[in-house]
Amino acid sequence: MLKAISRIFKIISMLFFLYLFLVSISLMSHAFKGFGHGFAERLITTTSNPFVGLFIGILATSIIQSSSTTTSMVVAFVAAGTLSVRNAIPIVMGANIGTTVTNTLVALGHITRKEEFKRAFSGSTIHDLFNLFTVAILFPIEMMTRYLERTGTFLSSLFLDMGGVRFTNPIKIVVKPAVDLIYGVLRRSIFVSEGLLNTIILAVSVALLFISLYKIVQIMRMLVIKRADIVFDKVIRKNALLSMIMGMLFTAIVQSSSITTSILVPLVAAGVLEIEHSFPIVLGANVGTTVTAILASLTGNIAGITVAFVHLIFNVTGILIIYPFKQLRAIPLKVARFIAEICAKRRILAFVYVIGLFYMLPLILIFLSKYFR
Amino acid sequence: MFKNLMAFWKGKDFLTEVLEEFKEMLDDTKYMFESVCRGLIEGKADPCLKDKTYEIDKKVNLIEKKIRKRIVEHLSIQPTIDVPASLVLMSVVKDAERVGDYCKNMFEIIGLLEKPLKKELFKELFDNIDKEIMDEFEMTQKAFIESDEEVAREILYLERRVVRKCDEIVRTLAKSNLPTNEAVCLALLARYFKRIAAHLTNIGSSVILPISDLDFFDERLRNEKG
Repeated sequence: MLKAISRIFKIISMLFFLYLFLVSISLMSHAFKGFGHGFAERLITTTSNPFVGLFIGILATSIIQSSSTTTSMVVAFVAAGTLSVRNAIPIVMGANIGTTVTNTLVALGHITRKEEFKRAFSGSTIHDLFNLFTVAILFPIEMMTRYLERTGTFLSSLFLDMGGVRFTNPIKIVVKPAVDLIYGVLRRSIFVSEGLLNTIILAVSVALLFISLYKIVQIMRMLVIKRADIVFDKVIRKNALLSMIMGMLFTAIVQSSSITTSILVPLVAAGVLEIEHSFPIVLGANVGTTVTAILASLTGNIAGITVAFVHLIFNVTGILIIYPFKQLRAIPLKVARFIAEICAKRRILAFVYVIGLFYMLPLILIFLSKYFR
Repeated sequence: MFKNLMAFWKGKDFLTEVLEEFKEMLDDTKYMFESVCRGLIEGKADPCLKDKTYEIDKKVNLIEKKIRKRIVEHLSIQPTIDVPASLVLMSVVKDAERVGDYCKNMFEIIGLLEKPLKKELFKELFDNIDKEIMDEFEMTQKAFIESDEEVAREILYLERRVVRKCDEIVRTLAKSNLPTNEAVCLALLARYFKRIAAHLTNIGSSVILPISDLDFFDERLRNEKG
């Protein structure tokens, strides 16, 4: 009885934070709109260089350690019209790389035991490497063909034709009173210029986004972890497709690929799971994490939905290009083992790898691209 | 595919699943002990005893690995849940596996013996220790699976009795004029009985001992007596 009440309470809390999440995205879009054309132009100019967009995506996600947050914010930017779909795509790609920092940090926790660390580091870098390889392949293809933009637009138009936007209308209607209320309260209680008010609203929306996503992840984890524990043991090591589906579903439910991939690292470290078996789960997590952006896009317009679809297509294409082919699939696995071998021999290199790849390199490249523009 | 996913979703929870597997380990080792004893003492050796013994020992080893893997998986996914139970299980599966090994060693004595064991001599020396160990198997399973503290305490006293008897057998054999082959085989048997009883007690006493004191049940017994 008590268990059932606690479960119901958790579900109600989760629905409340989901609502808060949708409100935060909508509020953010309003704030961006409020900044006017000047802000939009500056943002578009800054991200018009796709490399800068890519590195912004890596850096921002590495800092906040959540691709769901970055992509949801990108969706809000695009829905507000302050960022074009084209400029948003490299940021989404960068977010995919940046999000892998979390499990790499988890692997660093095993650094005192050499063999264990070697396994843990290969288990975490497989995610980094797969996402890096996917970007290395798809980024130039996108630059040349705009296939992600076109496919995303096509799919969102199908969504529109299917009445998808009509479906999104109730969400907009439900979210609107809360957005209006927050806007109204802030406007009436803080007597500042319109620009500063928008900055405050943006700060409030970002805070709400972080809190709501954090709580959704926490509650959903509590709700499904016991089942995940049971399912996990039966699925892993058996069938790559089932593992992928499990990784996707678990991540879609808990709304965090970092949770899924971070669970795998200690298992690989302990030697009870080979990276060949954790790999499909990681790929499933890549797809599952796109659900958050899709949810966020439901509060916005067709452009926001396009970006959410781009995130999904990008991850699915990456899997379809690399995973089905044995030789291609072996590349990230071999490189992950090679990097882990080197870093286990000279453990300082592991820190160089994390700081260099996720923080220093994007920072330097953003600076250089700005300097040499 | 959907059927598979649903079957996985409806699976048993961690502790239920692992305890069932551990019970299987205890059942298997009990069966091994019983069959080897029958072959050794009563001379009613099953022609397939060797294959069966080695096969079950392999199975017991596999279950040990499976349980350990499952524990690591569980603690990686839910690091704060069932930690004490997981640590106890990690320790007792090793004991169950060792029991399997000793049963295998007991079987090897059949090959070492030049002549079949004399029933009367065995009865006189061992005074039903094999039956007491069989009882201990039952009690260990009950104590551990049902967390029965009473039975766990009874195991401690039963083990003391078995240990005393086994030590006495070795002393008697050392002073006896029995042929070397027979004396060595009987001494080994007494030693294996003692080890099996001790490992079963490790499992049973885990119900009443704090995790840090696992395997040190004799100290507990001394303290309780003292």
